[in-house]
Amino acid sequence: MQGNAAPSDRLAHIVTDVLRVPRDGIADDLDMEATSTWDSLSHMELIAAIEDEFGVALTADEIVSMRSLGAIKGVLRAKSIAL
Amino acid sequence: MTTVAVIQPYFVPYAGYFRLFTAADTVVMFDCVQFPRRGWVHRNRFETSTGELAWLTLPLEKAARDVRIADLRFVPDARERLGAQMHRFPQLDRAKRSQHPLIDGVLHLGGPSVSDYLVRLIAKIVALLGMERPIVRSSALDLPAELHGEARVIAAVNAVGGHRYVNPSGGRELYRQESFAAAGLELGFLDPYGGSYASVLARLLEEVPADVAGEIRRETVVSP
Repeated sequence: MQGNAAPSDRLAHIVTDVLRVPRDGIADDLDMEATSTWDSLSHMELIAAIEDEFGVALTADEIVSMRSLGAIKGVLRAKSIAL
Repeated sequence: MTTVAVIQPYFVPYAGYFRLFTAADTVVMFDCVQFPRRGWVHRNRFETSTGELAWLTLPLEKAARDVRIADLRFVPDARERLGAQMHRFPQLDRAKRSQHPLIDGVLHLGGPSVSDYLVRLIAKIVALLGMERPIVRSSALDLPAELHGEARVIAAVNAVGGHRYVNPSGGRELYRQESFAAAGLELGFLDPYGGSYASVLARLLEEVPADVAGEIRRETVVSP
């Protein structure tokens, strides 16, 4: 996506694109259990897209923990991404 | 009742990917679609000497943005480049030095076609897991170009004589029971996956294949 956009917009773009959810349906409580399009395959797509977009390397534990948008933001904030 | 799964070919994917081989009688490798550059078709992640996960990436020829997976090609020295990348990953490097058959399989490109290679490698892994199934490339089915999405999947299932289609749970939003019923097909979905996301290659270099296969089978539950 556009590298000069705000990190929160870049993350929202990834989430809407991969999970096929409307932009206005995105909130921190969006989670894997309640989102029918968020299965293990789309989770892997999310991980790859986030790593590419933000230039971060996620650990196996982080990948398992990123089961909601809030959790994803928490992991990225810990890597100094300003969300 | 023949159950068919349709999925893009991935490079040594996570164990959950192979649930479709447990759930289906025939697996169609969906290589007739655009190559997703950010996906897992041409790469996977392994642990480096510092403990971080980094990408092991298949060396591909440059291609148009809309290139199909079926049309991807390796660069001429892909085997050497792929082997050189493995030095970054201690687990792969050790296995390469000991000439582990799985690493030999990864390094045996067998020709310029990436799709041929991926299907061959996936077949090798499913054989090791005891999950052999007929694997068909969708690019070999001559599906009409005008078919997309759900209609293209239905055409692929029909082309291999399927009666039932099984998909990961995320497909519930994409695929409608009534569309499949109108085509004379049943539709099922895998329940959510709770296992590891590590590459099956990393798992099989350390674990007994039967144990990994057992985990995959336990994780494979299909619901309407």
